[in-house]
Amino acid sequence: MTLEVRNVYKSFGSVRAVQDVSFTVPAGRVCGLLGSNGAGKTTTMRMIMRILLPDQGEIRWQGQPVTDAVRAGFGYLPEERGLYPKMQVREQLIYFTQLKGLSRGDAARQVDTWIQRLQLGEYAQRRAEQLSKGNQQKVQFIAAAASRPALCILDEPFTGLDPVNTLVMEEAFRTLAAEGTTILFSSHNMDQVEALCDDVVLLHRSKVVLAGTLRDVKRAARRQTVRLRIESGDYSFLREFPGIRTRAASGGAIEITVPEGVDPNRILQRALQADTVTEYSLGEPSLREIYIEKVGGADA
Amino acid sequence: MRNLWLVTRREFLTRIRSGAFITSTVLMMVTLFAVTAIPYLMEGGTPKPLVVTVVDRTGRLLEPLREAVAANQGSRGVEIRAGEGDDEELIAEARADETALLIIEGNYPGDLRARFLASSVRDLGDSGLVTGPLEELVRAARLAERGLPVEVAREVMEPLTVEELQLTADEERTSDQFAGMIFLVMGAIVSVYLITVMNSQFVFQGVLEEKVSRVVEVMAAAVRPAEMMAGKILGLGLLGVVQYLAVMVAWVAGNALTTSALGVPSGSITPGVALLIMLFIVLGYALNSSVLAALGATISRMEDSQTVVTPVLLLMMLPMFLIAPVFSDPSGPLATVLSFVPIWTPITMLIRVMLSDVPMAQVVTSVVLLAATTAILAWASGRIYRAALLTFGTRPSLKQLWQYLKAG
Repeated sequence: MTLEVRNVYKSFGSVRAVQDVSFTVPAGRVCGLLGSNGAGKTTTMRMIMRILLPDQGEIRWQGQPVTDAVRAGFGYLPEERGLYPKMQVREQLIYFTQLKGLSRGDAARQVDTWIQRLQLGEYAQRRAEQLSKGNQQKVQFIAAAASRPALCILDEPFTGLDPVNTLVMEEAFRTLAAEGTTILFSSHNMDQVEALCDDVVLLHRSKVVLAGTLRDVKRAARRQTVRLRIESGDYSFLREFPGIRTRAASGGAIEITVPEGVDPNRILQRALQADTVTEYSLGEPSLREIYIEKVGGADA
Repeated sequence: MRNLWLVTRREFLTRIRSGAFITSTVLMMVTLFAVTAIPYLMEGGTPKPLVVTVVDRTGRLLEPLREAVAANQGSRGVEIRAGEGDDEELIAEARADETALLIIEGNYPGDLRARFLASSVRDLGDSGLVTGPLEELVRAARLAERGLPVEVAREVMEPLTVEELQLTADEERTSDQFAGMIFLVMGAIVSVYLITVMNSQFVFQGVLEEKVSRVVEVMAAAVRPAEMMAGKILGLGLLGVVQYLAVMVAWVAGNALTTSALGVPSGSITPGVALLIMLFIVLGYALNSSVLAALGATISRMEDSQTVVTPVLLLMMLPMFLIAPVFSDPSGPLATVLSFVPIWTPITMLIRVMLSDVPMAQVVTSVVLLAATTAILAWASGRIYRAALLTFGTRPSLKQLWQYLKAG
């Protein structure tokens, strides 16, 4: 009950878009596919959807290679949004859903449910071209979700939405996940990914540089962040610890990045010897920090 | 297969409900009706009689002429009025009334002069309806003067009727039947042209619309490229059939009016020719539409569409430009050669088969050549379509098309 991407390669002419990419998404989980622009996210997603075929490697769903019949159980929201401009919203959603194998009646029921969830009732009879970009994007999400897919591939589903529509969409996203759909989605918003994902895969320059559950990834970062404040404000004792980095934080506190091999408790003990500690907290690095560390600040 | 049906259905239903389709169909119906019914419409139903004011300065010809004209039932009625006065006045009157004027003067019958004046070209063309009987009268009178009895003179001058027949394999067609056949041939080639060229352009527009609106990626994630392409071609082809039937109603109506007005029998189509028309429509449409679908897939911006499609469309329209020489000599070398060139086959071979005798082997060869070309081009187009479907931003060059063909 898993999506498996195994040693997949894809080139376009001399451009290597994806190289030896492998990861798995367990069924029923939400996985964030991260990476800077051009890292290979969209190509990977298109290969899972069989829009492109890998040059090498294999993509399997529930142990079977993905065929057209298997793909009928997948939903897809492409990065380049596209709807038939002159076709009525509800009519075209039913059409897309029927193409995934549902009967017309079934498709209509699913589409109507999702139209209500995404608050698009008043636009259902309009032509797609008459809708705002945000609403078109919600329609596009329904096209991916309404067929009750076992796996849903969402390429940047939240990009370009205003804050209110982002909330509506996140709610719909959670509903889809709660109904048991396995979701692989890409986003550049790390806070959102942290809030929505169980697992993450980070691509950099067409290769996987990090993959696993969010918890494991954070643990694997093998460093922690300590926030410390002492009354005197004299932090010179920290020089005794090799390899730590500090940066001033609000309220006279400092944030210390603790490298592997240094026990944060020892920092606390040393601080207590030095002065009165008024604040101490130990935190894991944020996904954003891990991302920047892996990919480099420029691409983030 | 289910998705093929769904795509076909969507293509058909969304188009047939669109205002653009309804407008263009009505326009085509009106055009075709007008074109075929022009001769009828110009005459306003039954032709207006030729009105001639006869100025008989000999004083001996008016009544005999009136009788002779009345006895001579022509294709157009003639009304003869007696007139007198000087030339200028009469001519001014004829101009004002748009009637014809026949002035007869001199010595009857030996030294007679006659002038026929008319402002309408049509009246001039029909002058024989009056001047013919006049000539007969005068000749008979001259013969009578020389001692030949009038009855004998009339007999001598009885015109010889020459029947003109076109020889075909199993029948002789009168020239009237030939004329009726021409209208039928026009209808047949216009219908083949409409469906194979005009409707294939719908396919092009449809593919382009999917590319430009980027809906193509949503479709490609659900439907195989072959199903997308075939569904579009089938759906719009069915639409073409509906449009064709509507247009045919207009054409048959116009044709019936005209052939009855001209008094020529309308031609009829043998089952073999009907089958051939259907075959040419199916093959020609499949050829053109798959080529245009592939071209549509290589474009991603509306503004590139004209530069890419115009040369191809011109090629497809080429057969229409050479219709005149084929019509004038359907068994000639030009027509024969053209009928074996696949893009010319449907139209040229139809003209040949309907207007002349074509050996069965030639018909079969041309159909086989066309079918083979269609199969090869449809295959190549399918590959190009598949490879080009998700490329954006590049305008296709021949080199690029070749790469798509290899990659598909």
